[in-house]
Order: sequence, then C-alpha cells, then structure tokens
Amino acid sequence: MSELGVILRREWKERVFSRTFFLSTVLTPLFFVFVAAVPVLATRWEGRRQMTLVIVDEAPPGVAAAVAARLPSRPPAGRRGVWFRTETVHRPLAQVRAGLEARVRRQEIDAFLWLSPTVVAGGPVTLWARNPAGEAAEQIRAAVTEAVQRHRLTAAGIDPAEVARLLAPVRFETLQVTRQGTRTVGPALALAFLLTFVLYFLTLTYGMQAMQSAQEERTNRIAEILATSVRPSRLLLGKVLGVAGAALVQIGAWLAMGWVAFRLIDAWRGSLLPVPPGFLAELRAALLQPMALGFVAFALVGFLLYSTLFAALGATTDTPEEAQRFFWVLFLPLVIPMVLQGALLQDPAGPLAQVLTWVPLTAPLLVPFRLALDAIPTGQAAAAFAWTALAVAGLAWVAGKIYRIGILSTGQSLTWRNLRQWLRAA
Amino acid sequence: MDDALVLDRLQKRFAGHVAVRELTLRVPRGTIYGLLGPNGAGKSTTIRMALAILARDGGTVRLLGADPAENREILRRVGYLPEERGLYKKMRVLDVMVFFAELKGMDRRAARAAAERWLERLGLPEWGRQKVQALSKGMQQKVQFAVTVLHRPELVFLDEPTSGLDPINQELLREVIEELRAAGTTVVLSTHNMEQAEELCSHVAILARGEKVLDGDLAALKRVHRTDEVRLWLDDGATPPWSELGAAVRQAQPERDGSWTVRLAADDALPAFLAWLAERHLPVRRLERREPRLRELYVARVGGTATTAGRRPDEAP
Repeated sequence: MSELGVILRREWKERVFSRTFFLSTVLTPLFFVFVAAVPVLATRWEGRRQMTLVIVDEAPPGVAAAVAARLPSRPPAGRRGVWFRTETVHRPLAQVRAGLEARVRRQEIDAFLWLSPTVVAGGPVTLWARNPAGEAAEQIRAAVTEAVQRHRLTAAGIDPAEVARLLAPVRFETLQVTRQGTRTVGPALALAFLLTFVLYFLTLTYGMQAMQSAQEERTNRIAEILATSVRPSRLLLGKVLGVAGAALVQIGAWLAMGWVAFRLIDAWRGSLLPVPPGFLAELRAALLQPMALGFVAFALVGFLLYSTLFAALGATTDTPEEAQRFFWVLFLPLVIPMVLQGALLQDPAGPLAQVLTWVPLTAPLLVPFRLALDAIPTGQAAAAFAWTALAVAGLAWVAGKIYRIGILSTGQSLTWRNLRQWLRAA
Repeated sequence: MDDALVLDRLQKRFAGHVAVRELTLRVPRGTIYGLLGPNGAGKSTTIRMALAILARDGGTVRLLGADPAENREILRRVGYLPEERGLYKKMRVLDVMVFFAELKGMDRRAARAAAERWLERLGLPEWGRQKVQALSKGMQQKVQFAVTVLHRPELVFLDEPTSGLDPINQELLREVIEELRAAGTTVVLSTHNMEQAEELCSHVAILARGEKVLDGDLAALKRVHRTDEVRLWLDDGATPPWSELGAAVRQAQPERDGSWTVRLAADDALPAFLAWLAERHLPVRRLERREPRLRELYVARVGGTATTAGRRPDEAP
C-alpha cells in the first residue's frame, strides 16, 4: 500500500472504530429529531381540559350570550383541546374585578372576560387569566370577534351567513417554477436548511478532528518520525482524505437512518407528526434532482478546504487554547451563510447572495443553499464551482506550506509574525 | 571504506544564531558512530538535516549514497529515534508498529510478524494488543525503539535512546544495538552518556557550539591522546625500588588494589621502563598503558565551550 493509503487508512480507522464515532452517528440524528419534535409533541400532548370562564357583561344585549355560544361546551373528539364552562355576571367591572381576580388566584376559575359597553363600536374587551397566551385565549378572542361582527351585521340588516359565504377565504397556493418543473416550496426549503446545516455540522466537526490530529502529531513529535517516511504535503492529504472517508461513513449511516425514518413517518403520518400529504414524495424528488450533484461537488470542495485549513491550524499550535485564538478566522466564514440564512431566504439571488457566492470560504455552504432553492443559474453555479475549486487549490497549497513548516516547529507558537516567517521560508 | 553517511560543510543558521557550522563527517558503514556534545551543540539539528527533516542552509548530505532532500526513497532504508519521543496514544501497540513499518514500505503481514518478534525481544510480548497509553514511559520508549528498527534499516539514528530507562533496560538496549551492528546496521548514536558511548562506539565526533571539535576512530583517538601513565600489578605486592629510575619516573603512586600508577617522565620512556622491570626480575602480573577515557577527551575538548543558555537552536523555524 502506498504511504498515502497507509496514512489515510490510519486516520479513517482511528475515527470510525471509536466509541465517540458510534455515539455521534447514532445520537446526533436523535438529538435533532428530539429538538424538532419535542415542541410539536408537547403542544399535542397538552391534553384535554375544561376551562371555567366568567364573562363580565356590560355589552349590548345578546353579545355575551353569542360569545358563550361560540365557545365549545363539550369535550372535543380528539385527544386534545379545551372546552368551556361559562358564567355571566351582569354587573360593572369595577364592582367585581377584585373578587374575580381573587378567584383566579385561588384557581376557582381560570379566567374572566370583560365586554365593555362600547364593544360593538370598537370599545375594549379584556381577558384576565392565569395563562392569557394559550390556545384557550385564542379561542376566546375568535369567539368575541365573531360574536361582535355578527351583532354589527345584524344591526345593519345584513345576513351574517350570507356575508360569511361571500367572505370565505380563497385557497391560495404557492408553487415554484424551476428548471426541472413546478413544485411546492416546502420540501425544497426544508431540504435547503437541512443540507446546509448538515454540511456546516460535518465541516466543523471533521475540521476540528483534522486539527486535533495534526496537533497530536506536532506536540508528540510523531511528525518528526513521519517526516522521515512521508512528505508533509502527503501526510496532510492523507489526513484530510481519511477524515473525509470517516465523514462519508457517517453520512451513509445517516442516510440509512433517514430512509428508515421516511418509512416510519410514512406509516405513521398524521397520527404522530403533522406531515402534509405529498411532502415526503416531493422531498424525495428534490433529493434526486440534478442539484444533488452540485451539492455533492460543493460539499466535497468545502470539506477539503476547511479540513486542510483546520489541519494547518492544528499543525501550528500546541494546545486547543492556543488554536482558539485563531479559530475565529476559520469559523467566521463558515458560519456566515448559516447566520444570514434568513436574509438570504428573502432574496436568494440578491446582491448579498451574489457576493458570498464568489467568496471561496463562504461559497461551499452558500451555493448548495441556493441550489436547493433553485435560485442560481446552472452557468453561475458551474463558474462559482470552478472559481472556488481554483481558490481552494491555492489555499490548500498555502495551508500545506504552513503545515509543513508548522508541524516540525515545536516550541514556536502561532503568531501573525511567525506565520509570515513560515510562509516566507516555505 | 564505503560510508553510510557523509556530511560536507553542513551549515544551519536560525535567526541570529549559527546552529551548525561547516560540519564535515564520515560515518563508515557497519559502525556505531557516537555523536557527542553538550546541550545545544547542534547534534539533533545535524541529524534532522541529515534526514532532510530540516532544510540545510549550506553543504551537502550523502545518506547511503544519495541526498535525501532530492531522493526521499532513500529514507525508507533509514530508522530514526528522535530525542523527544511520541506515539499515537490511542492506537494499539502492534497497530502503531505496523503503521510505521508500512510507511517504510514493509508488507503488512511481514511487519506484523516482525513487530511481534521485536516485542518478544524487548520483553513486551503480552502488550501488543494494549493501547499505547496503557504502557509505562519506559515501555513506550522500548516500543518506539522497535518502531525505529522494525523495517531492518541499513542506517539508524538514535538520539539518546536510553535516557529515562532503568539500568536493566539500558543494558537490554545496549545489547540490541550491538546486535544491530553485528548484523551490519550502521548506528549513529547521539548521547550525553560517555560511558555508554565508550562501550558501544567505534567512531565518535564531538560537537560544541555547532562545530566539530574532534572526530575519528575511537581507538586511534585514544592512542593519539594517550597519557604517559602506566598501571603495574606485581604478584608479591612488593614496592619496587623506584629511586633507581631517577628522573625517568615522575611519580609512582600505590593504588588500593595493590597496584601502582606510574607516571613516566616522557612518552618514549616506556621501553626503558620495561627493560628495567625485566632487569630487576620483578614479578609483573599485568602492565597496562593507560589510555584516556572518552569522558576525559570530551571534557578536554568541550571544556568551557558548552552552551548553556538561550533557546534550543533546533527548535527555531
């Protein structure tokens, strides 16, 4: 086996056959599923409960009764939801407010609602509750709005049912016209976020591993022995490719887990997670589109770039603390496309996106994002790739020089001055 | 004789400091060559330049007939044990040995078999499957030694190979180094341990402040620098009539073991002294002309030139 192969295999084996690798492969997707699913499931599992509401009625006759009538008074059919037991008090608020607040505090009632005398003309309606931001408060607001609107319509001699029919909402749908066809935006958007995040996560994680590996070889003086067997540039290449190989295994494992998850979600759709019909099919289709090729190409280039740069950082520092001082130089361009995702989403072909597309350190994460949204012409993506690959080759060459000098210069800490010296000496 | 290593006017300068100055050396094949000198003398820098780990500023290197900076393949036939040692701590001992041997071009299976043999030879047969970090420092040092010689190199550079080892393991490594030499391997031994160097080395070079102050065949060097002292053992423990010799003997001093250290008046006075012993029929059991110890040569040559302060020159870029 060639020396490059020997280095590559060692780097790969050290990562893949470790407990940390196994745990991160299994636990990382579970962690993200947990983070994504818990809020959804938590609201779903709020359960069924009855709410006691006192209506302080100073409104024109009929309004309070209409409000009460619009609130559900029986348990809902599903596994969750709120229903109300209402009492109406026909006295001024000032007389009953203190007493009702005390009852809320004692948890004898959950809330009280004041309908002011001028409610129909736009006067105030106020809800006092222990939790005025929950689903129940939203139901009460909707009931009051509807009751008041119907009152106004009736007073104006208009049939509320007719108005409701006339003002029924339209079914508005957004479709994206892409080079490959027309599609809904949801799956593409989900894919763009997911892929960019996975790329960011892998680049950072494995870049750090390349850094630690180079640091170990520098501080343990292993590099000195290696230097009598293999050129530092080959050592760096073997290291980066070995790390990339480990990342591929992890991606493969995640794809397999994703496939299983697809099947499970398909089977349990609607009962466990709110997945719209057709979403999974469109997500599959989006994954298989030609843009996947672009994504893989940029992912590869970005991965090689950052692994090389991180390895160079490791080769020039003795401790993680020392590396930390220069870490931001690499971390910042990596994180920019993540931080600006919101702004980029508003205009994925706008000036900001255009500029970052041509910056080699941000392109590997940004262009896949734009590709997933079909917001970059093929020609521009290809040109950006060629430019990024060229710049990456140049940067990797410089990083290789730094690596070669740095890895054998133990006792010399990384400073801007030393960096300049090493580059001159390289 | 064919030389395993030839350095010609080798030069290395770090910022404001000459680490190695115009160094010329020849290491004959099949010898154990001692590279001696105080801290900062330039020994490690010389070795690193010889192995093309460090770029040289001037001079030439012929390592097994080739310049390693231009022909890196030649380094596959060389082993190197650096002074500051390190192995991959989380790898298993056998795996790390096989890894380094494969980098030197050895077949995986052959490397594994050789690694097992070396572990056996160094008294670590049961440690092959353990992780390096589970081994004591001394054990790790022996593993690193095995890594250096596993691929049967023709030339081995050992930088302080026994430092930090207990006397038993020092003796074990000394035996192994002798075995290597007997098998035809050339060994360049950088050390501070003069007794060890004297015991092992057939040739030495003494460096001080980056310059060579003495080099050559150790026996010849001792002859050249021999003293005018002889040690005399007599069978009956008698005191010879030294006064008869007059000015030919400067001093005769009894030793604890009953022998005599005799300081002759001149280097060429020995034949006359031997003739006098025969003439007096003194019962000579043993007579030895005392040659200088390597330590004495070292101290005499290095003396006050030893560098003590400042940055290690070989740590600069």
